Amino acid sequence: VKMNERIQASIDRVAGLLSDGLQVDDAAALIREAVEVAEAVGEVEALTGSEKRAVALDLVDRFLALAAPQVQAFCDHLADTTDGPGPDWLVDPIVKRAAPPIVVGTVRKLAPALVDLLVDASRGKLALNDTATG
Amino acid sequence: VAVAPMPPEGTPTDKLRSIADQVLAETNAALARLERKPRTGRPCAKRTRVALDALTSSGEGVVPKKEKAKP
Repeated sequence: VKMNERIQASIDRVAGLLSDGLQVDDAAALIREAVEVAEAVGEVEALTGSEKRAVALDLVDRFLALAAPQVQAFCDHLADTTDGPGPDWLVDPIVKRAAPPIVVGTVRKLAPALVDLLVDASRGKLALNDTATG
Repeated sequence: VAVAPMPPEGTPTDKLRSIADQVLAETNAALARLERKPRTGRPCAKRTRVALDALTSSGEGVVPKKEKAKP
């Protein structure tokens, strides 16, 4: 793929998102950038809609994999610096093991539906402003 | 004659995977340019503080470790 300014701009935004760790509230922005990249690449490579969707979802997966060490470090740090109900020796390892897959899995699970939602919105299929509320 | 089954819709082909490979490589390069050592696993201090504040003010009994240590 020949990288152009549009693709590079999206990639830079993704790097900015990932550079300070990944949290669930990054999901929408990350998925949007994956769609932007897929769309821009699709123009260069003449991809079909379903191919662009596949690229977008593949990119989301890869971005999440890239962020996984930071998600783990983030959850480890939270577990190490807080105390909840129950003994630390029992609770902390569970939090450290369970929280990262929940964060990453949530974003991954949301991705297909959010990609479709973005596509629908860009095609004008969402009539959110149909009625004037004054 | 055995015919390979069609992949389900949305499954990346080799071509699409190579596109994603390249984008990921560019993303890694962009991260490196930011010089924040993204893969060392060091969480950002500001976001960590925000998350800690949210946890400890959630009313779920989560407190900073040093507070629980007090008798």
